[in-house]
Amino acid sequence: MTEAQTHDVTQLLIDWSNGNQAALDKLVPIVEQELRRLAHHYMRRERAGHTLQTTALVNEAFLRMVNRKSIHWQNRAHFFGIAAQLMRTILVDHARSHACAKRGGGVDNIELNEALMVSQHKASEVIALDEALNELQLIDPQQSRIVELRFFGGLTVEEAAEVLHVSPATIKREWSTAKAWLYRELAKQ
Amino acid sequence: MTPERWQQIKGLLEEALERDPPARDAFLDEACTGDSSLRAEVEALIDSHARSGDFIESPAYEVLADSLTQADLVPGTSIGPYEIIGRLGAGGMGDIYLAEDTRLGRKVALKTLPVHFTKDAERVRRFQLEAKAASALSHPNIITIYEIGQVDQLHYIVFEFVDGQTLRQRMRTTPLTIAETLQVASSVAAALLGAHEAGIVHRDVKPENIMMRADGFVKMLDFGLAKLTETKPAVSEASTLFQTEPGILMGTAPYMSPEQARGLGIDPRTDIWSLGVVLYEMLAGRPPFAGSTNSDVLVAILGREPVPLPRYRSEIPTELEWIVKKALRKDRDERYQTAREFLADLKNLAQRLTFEEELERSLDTTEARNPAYQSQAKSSGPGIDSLAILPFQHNEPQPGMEYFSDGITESMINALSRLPELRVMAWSTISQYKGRQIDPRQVGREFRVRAVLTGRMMQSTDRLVIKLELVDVGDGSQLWADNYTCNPADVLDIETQISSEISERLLLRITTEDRKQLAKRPTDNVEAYHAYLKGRYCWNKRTDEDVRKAIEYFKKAIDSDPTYALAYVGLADSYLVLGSFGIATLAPKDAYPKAREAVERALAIDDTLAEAHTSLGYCFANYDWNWTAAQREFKRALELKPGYAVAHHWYGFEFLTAFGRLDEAIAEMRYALDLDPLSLPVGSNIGLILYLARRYEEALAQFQRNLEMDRSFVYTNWQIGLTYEECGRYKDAIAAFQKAIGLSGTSTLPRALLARTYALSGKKGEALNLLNELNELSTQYYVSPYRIAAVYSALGDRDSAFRWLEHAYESRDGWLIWLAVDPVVDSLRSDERFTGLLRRIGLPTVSGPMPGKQDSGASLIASTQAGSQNFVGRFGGVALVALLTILLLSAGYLLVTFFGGRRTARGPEAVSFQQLTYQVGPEFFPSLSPDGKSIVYASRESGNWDIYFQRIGDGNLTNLTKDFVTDDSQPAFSPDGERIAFRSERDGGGVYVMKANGGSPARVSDFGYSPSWSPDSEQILVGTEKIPQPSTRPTKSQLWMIDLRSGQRQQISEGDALQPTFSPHRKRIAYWSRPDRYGQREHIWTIPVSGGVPVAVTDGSFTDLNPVWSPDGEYLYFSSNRGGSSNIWRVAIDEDTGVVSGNSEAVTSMGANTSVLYLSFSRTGQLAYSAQADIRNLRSIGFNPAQGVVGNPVAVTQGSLQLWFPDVSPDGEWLTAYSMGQQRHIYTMRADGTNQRDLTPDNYRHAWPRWSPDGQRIAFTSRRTGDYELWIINRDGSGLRQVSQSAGGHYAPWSADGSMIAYSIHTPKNDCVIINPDKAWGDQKFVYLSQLSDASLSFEGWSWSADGKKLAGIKHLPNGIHSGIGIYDLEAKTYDWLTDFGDWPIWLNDNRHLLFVSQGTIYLCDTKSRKYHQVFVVTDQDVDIGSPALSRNNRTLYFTYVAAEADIWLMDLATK
Repeated sequence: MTEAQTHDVTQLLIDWSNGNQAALDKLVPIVEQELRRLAHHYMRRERAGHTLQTTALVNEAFLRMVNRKSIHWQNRAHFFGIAAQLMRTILVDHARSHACAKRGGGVDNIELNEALMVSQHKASEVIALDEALNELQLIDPQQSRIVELRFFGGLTVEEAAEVLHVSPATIKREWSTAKAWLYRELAKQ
Repeated sequence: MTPERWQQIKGLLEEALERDPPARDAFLDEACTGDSSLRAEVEALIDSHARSGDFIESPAYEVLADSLTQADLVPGTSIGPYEIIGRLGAGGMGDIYLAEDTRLGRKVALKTLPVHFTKDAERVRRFQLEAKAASALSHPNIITIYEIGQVDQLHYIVFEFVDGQTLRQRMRTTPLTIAETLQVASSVAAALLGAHEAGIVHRDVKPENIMMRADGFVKMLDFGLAKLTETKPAVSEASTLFQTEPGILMGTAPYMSPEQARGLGIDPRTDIWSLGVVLYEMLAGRPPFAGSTNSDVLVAILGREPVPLPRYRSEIPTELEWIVKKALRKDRDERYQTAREFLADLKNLAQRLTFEEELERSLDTTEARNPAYQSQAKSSGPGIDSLAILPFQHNEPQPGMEYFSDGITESMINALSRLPELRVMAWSTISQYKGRQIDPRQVGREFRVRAVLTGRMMQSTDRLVIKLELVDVGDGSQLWADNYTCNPADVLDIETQISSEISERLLLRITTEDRKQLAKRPTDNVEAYHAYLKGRYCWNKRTDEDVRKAIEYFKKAIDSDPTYALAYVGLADSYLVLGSFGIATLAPKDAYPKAREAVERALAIDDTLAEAHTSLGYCFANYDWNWTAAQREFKRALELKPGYAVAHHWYGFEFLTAFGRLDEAIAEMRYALDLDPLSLPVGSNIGLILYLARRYEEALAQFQRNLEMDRSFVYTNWQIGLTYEECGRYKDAIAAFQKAIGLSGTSTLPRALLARTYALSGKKGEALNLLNELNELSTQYYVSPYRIAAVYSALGDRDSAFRWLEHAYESRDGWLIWLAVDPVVDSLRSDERFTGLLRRIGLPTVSGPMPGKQDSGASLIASTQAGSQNFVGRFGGVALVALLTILLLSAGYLLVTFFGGRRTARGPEAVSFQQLTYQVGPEFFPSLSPDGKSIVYASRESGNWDIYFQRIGDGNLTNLTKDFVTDDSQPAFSPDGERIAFRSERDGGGVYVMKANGGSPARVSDFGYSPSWSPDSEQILVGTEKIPQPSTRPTKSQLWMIDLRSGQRQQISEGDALQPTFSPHRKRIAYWSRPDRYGQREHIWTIPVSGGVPVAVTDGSFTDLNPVWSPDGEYLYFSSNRGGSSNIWRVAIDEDTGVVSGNSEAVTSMGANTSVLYLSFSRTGQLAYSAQADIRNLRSIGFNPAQGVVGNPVAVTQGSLQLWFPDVSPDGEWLTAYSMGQQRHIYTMRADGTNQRDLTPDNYRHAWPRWSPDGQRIAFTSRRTGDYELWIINRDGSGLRQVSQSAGGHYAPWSADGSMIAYSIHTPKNDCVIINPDKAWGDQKFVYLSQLSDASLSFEGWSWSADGKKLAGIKHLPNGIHSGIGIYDLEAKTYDWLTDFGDWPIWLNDNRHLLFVSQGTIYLCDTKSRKYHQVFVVTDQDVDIGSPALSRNNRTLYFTYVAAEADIWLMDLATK
């Protein structure tokens, strides 16, 4: 990634966090490309049989994209929060474009029955999870945010705690019940 | 749920989770008192919590990594030579991109494979095989695959870019019309037909895979690729969320056939079902089987009938509804069995519908010579030298009209065939296109003609309208079109007029004589004409019954028009056929005079009638043996009507063949076939000449092609039988003759042929019974005395044979004319009586170079063995062995000897051989059951390796592993005969055990190859490495023992150890092992069962493999190349100590081109083995550095010389190559394979010939001194001299100016050294290549670049394994390794690109960019490509085609 791009990403993230939706359109392709590069890296490692600190990897995605010196964030936590939100947007969009079908999504029968390859299957589950998360948002915004940070943003328990200004124990407890709720939601479908 | 309620639930949930599970109930009892729904919620969530496990523990990013890695080809990305332009779409099989091939500037579609597939190496390998096979499909309705490639981890396929939409997209717009539907379905059926014939099943026919071009042309995608995505058809639960790969889909549910849904094996009929579904959907707008989930769909497919089509669309014709139903029969035996049948029905219907439509329009408008429809034709049509006139179509489905329209077509063909400059397709071929919807240009291309004439006839009460159109096949333009209207009775006038008009349009030079001929009408009598046509139709069928019917028709024609000369010829031809070799129900003396009389009548009417001269030639040849007259008549006929297919046919078949001019005969017949491609008699008789020429393989192929056109054509059925017989395939021969008997009615011929096969195969009783039967039949029908002679000859009764030949002579039997060449009388040739007979018939004693017995190929194993069996019946005991030995020696093939060793007195006394398998491709890994009554082995006939079971003697095969698409091989019977251990690639591979009937397979180990059982059936031995080609082994194979009861595994040796076997008393384990160092060979070792120090069994400079213990444990039998070629040897051994006594002794002695592999003993002393024969021949193919190969490979050599390692002379006109086998000689020949010459006709071995750059000399390595040394010989065979004295050496490429040779000296490793070919060895100033950084590696130069600066060569590992190619820069003195695979690199003349070979594929490598891609792939998996050679202009590529065939044989060594 070039200097100029790094600068752009930083600025765009700031713009987006300030409510500029146009910034998102510019961010997405840059971030997605970076994500893909890292995904390759990940897949290679996975093939080679290495387990990987994926959390670190995801963070790396962002840290590589922004010039940390020029971050004008309120703090590191804020940055992660925005990043997770962005990741959610990008990943769910990606999943949507990738999955031929999703459950109950009003797509016609033919497509529903088309060869769902494993990755598409996973993609459709990511979409389902995103929708369930929207439901959760209505009854428990904090839990929804925790899942967003951890699942979409790839944050550790400690990092999520930092972003939300709560204790790691709270994150763990909330994560556990949120997971049970989401699992049940998805299993219902 | 409200937030408050959730807070309440969550609180309880948290508290409950903090407690131990047993304490939770009590807690909830208390906390949820009175609120049962609260409690239910919390309990449900506790349950979810317990089951959620890893759910969402991995970040989304990781979950999606797989798909993220797939879709990362942004515009501008380069993949090999392809640059991505944009994404076209995503599919289950990966994403598709539009890309540009930067080399050619053309747009292509590039499909990437999902990364998770490519993690599985086995899957990738299978995919590549499949894709390679699919890429060989060449069909207008199938998308062309250009390349299958890989860059890093990315696997991709590049194929033709079709600008259009998928059928799915098309169906979303407006409903397809019936006509469109039929057109799409026909195109898909045609594509499937092409693929099925090439052995490829699509597996995933669906609208997404059907592309429609803007012009409506249909192309199919993704042939065979679906196999890659196939997993078990299990419908998964969603609950595996994110963590495991659920075994979800398979094919595409709505298009899946019942057999797919059941997970059964699939075949071409699976595709027919799927096309049925697509057809239904096009008509109904919805698929026939639907459901909201996949499992609902599958249930519907298996159990429900679709809604009748008329409910969706009333105008659907009943026939179409019937077609759809037939395609959608759940039992595949009730479906269309082939795409051909399906296609025929679709096309017939389409044609009928079109015609009905057109007729409605045209009847209103057509009036005589409608000017509006008049010719807008191009004014010139130069260069049209060939023409096909398609059957005129007509609107009346009544038979009368059909003969009428056929008649016009045929007589126009007849008229135009007279023109010497025009090749016109014969009627018998054209007539097969009757009633079919044809694309004239496509037909034109198939027949390789320049123009096609189509005609339509429409009849209304008293008017006949004929519309004609002449189309240029090249560009599709209309050369001419016209309408003719007449009274039906005047049709013959019109016909003449049309013929002359066409010839003018074609700008053919027409002489006055031609014009006269064109204007000639065979007959004015329509009835006579119809009768004649019917007669010819029957005559072409070549059965007694049909030909007799033909006689009636011709007689009727003559009755109606006594001046109808052609009808007399038809009559004559019918008698000729009845009385000649093939039907022979009339004695020649009864047939020929009648034929002769009819011919004379015809000639009296018209002595310029080519047809009559042809028939007269036949009479002279076959009956009068007046060869001069026969030749004169045939030549006259060919002058009069060069386009008369029958004249070419009979001249070749009756005259040239009789004189042993077999190549000319075949050429003449092939021309006949060019004129009449679908003629069954011509096609079959070409096969018979190939048989007479001893070219059995080609003959069989020719017969198979003919059978594909019509299985019931009687000639082909018995002719293939004759060929099988000569190959020793008696079982096949008997089946073929029996089929022929069923088809041939009263003809006694196939019975006589069958009798000979019985005699040869040892069924003397049956043979004699048949002779009796024939004797009885002879009172009523003619029985060919010649064929009876052949039976007696097979029975060994020469005197009777000659007596019957004398009868044949007296009755002028039709077979006698081939006496000089017929293999069935070979055993009689040396007799004086035979030469006398030849003389009396007027045939040459030695007819040119008489083809000798073929001395290679698996077929010969059979014939030799057959000979032995034949004698088994008549002799016995010791005499048998002696006789057998002589017989086998004389056949030069198989010799059974037992050398005098220490224990020969106890050695086997009776030996017999029996061929057990006849499947296509190689059969390997035989394992005999302990009682010797059954055998299992592996064959690839089904497409992957499967294990087959056969009870010896009954010939019935059972594929024990047919339900598995993975490879299953290396079966081993357990000592109790109840179980079979085998290697399988299922589930990642391992060793399995199943019941002897294939039931209950279970994995016993997740690694290991070549399992073998302990005598008590408790343990299994395995090696950890597959049995490879010994010279290409990468690793060490360890020796392990698996205990079946405990599952315990114990490593016995670190290896290297392959194909281990327990000794019969479980004392030692024998195996073979790879040498550590180059120059050493594979040898046999034994090791105590408990492990310990291995003891060598064999040593020396031979390769010894595959040890098996004799049942008594006293000998080790093994396969060894000592003695020159691979044979079975044995050595006496002490089972306790492993100490050998005595020398190794040969058990079999096969010819040089046969290898004996994979031995297995029964307890009863029979030994089974695979006999593998490679057949090598040179081929050539056009080459273009930018495009790769051009056109199709052409055979340069055919036959048994086993030539390979070709090199092209500098002028491109000559080749040199060497023969492989016992005699390795250097040959030269013209580039088309003619003028073969053995340059080294001596008893030494020579190899790797290379032309000097001036084309005057050939350098090669020769073993004349005992070691391989470099020698040079002049191209004319003179000036032979030794150049090197290096005590061993290899390849020797010349530099471009001829002043240097890079010679690889065989030292402990190999040193490539540059020498001067014109200097004595003592005077050489050796120029060594620089040292390799890894001193254990070596480099051998193979090709010198034209600029002299670089040497391309092969990298050798220390043990001699070729491990890739590289180049040596002679100026910089550096090496550059280009690949770690491949062999035989040769430079293109640009000093930059190289061709090299690996595993059946030729690659083109750019040495600058280091990129390489495939330019030529041999798709047949049992075929390999040897070293290539390239003409200096880089336009012709030569390579060696190496086909492997291996059959399993049984040798009985039992002591009496």
